Amino acid sequence: MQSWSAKPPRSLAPWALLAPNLLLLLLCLAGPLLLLGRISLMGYEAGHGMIPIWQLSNYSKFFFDPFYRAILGGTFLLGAEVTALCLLLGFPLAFALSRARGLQRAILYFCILMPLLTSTVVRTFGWMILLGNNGFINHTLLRFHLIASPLHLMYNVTGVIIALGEVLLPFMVLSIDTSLLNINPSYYEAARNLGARGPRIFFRITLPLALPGIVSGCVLVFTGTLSAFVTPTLIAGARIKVMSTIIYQQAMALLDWPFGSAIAFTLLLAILILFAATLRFSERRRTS
Amino acid sequence: MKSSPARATTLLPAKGTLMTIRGFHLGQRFAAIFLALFVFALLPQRSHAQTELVVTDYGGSFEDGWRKSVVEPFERAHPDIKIKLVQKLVFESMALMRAQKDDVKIDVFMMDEVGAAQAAAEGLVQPISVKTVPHLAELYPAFRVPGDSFAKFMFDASVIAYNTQQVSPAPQSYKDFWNPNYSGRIAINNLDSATGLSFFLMLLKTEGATMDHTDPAFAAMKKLKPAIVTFPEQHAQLAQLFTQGDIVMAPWTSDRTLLLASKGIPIAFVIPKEGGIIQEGGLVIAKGTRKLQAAQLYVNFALSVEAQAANAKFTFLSPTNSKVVLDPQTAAKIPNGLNAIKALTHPDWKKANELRPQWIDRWNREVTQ
Repeated sequence: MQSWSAKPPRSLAPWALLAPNLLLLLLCLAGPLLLLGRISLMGYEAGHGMIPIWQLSNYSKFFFDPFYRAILGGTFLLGAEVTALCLLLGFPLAFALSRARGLQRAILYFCILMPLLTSTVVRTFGWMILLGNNGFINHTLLRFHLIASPLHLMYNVTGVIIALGEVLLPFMVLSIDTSLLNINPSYYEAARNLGARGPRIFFRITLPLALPGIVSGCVLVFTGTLSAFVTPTLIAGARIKVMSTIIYQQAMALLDWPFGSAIAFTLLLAILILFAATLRFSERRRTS
Repeated sequence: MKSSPARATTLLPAKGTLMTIRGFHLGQRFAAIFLALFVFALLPQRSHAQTELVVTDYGGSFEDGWRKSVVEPFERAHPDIKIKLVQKLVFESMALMRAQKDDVKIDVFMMDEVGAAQAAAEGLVQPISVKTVPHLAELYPAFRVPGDSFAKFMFDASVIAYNTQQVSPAPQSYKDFWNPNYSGRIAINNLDSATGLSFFLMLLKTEGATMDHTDPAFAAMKKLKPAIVTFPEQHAQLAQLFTQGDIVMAPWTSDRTLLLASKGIPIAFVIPKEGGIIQEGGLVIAKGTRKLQAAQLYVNFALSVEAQAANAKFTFLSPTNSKVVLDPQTAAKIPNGLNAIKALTHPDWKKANELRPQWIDRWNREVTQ
């Protein structure tokens, strides 16, 4: 590898290796995105189709309507809630995983990855069986007289947070695990030698050094939530509106591709801004 | 082709030392292999002697019946044509038809009347005729469309589906959804689905509203809102809700209710006294298909007496072919025959289609919010 980078003019290899991926990305991502951008500027008339003009009214329709702004806000709030849940549950898990060795680690690792092994639709229907008003959880709790009436876990935001938290948890755990494993054990020994105790070591050494992993885990979970479509649709139904479900409604049920594209682009832009801010934040921390 | 990447990887352990192989830079060699693989992937597969006809259907339990009643017998009758089934929901199909306009990949679409009429209006369909699809002549006149732009191969009725153990007496009217006994145990399909739209159109009638003046219907829905468990969009969701007992009553369709009942769930339907909407399924040939003849044969087969009788038996689709004679058991279950067809409401879909975006927008804000 070093010999290649030492001779930049001759190093065709990295490009050659990248070429298929770049080509695919260009064809399957950049191209459609450009098309989407173009469509978002078109007009639409119900029953007739798209009108090939250039205009910004799809965007103004979105931003000047408190109804749509509230959906954007609600989607970000949902993202924050799922991220908080994953962080809360994920950090201790990642901590345990980073300490485990050998077979124990392998088993734990497998268990953490398990949610990703089934398809979204199957997993979501599974959650519906567990969370329903007559589902397993409510049935069991009622049976043992722990609750008087069924808990409302389905068809609302609670169910969506639970189901999305489950599937996105591995991303959080694995990111944090990686950064925890990268902490040099001698830091801990040095801290102990200097008389620091558990909590102090945790807050002064573990947490700051695990921060890159926490940040990337949060970004993964957050964007995963924002782009989730099947889970909110099946678990919450039409009552909970998130960006992905209104994009689907506009594009598929109403066939209003221009407005659907404009909402999709707005979501993309919002995510990009958030990414840029996060990157800036973590870069600044690293340099300071 | 297969051996080249393997040989390349066996050379890898010599990383850094063995940079050239037969005068090729390793990177160039890799690039060549990738390029070759890529080109190979893009090459069209060697064409079969068979024609492959790509058609859509609604998927799920519907597809099991469709395979048995149409696809398999058709392939037996026409060994030179192979059917490839792709699952698409109505509005997805519409989107696809638009997208593939210049390069048709899917030859025949299955859509409801609303979607098919919209596709025809946008000029995306290849019209048929009695000459190309002879069984068209056997349809009840009510199922022929202007210009024969597509073929109606089945219908079902919008109904009230209810749990036979929990709801007694059986519901009689759409007003029964407002019965406080069933509060918290009903679902109403979201307005952006076909079932939801049919319910809404019946609601207009029940509440004395019209398509142009929908206020009473929305007022009624606002009252009903707290009693509704959820607003499903897919048939599978309703099936799940009924199976789990989370709901005991919901607007649905005759065929889907019977399909669930056939799996042992205590469920039945009524066409309430206000009536029901007739919901028709159409087969649409995509304009510009390269397999026009095969597509016409397929559509013709789906309209045949045998295919429609089998569809009625397996998936409870009501026949549009007037010559179909159902076995007494099936005939007792599904809406069929001229009188049943006449009793169902046939709304002005064109108008409904144009006003739908407005209704959905209001529904989003006032009902599901």
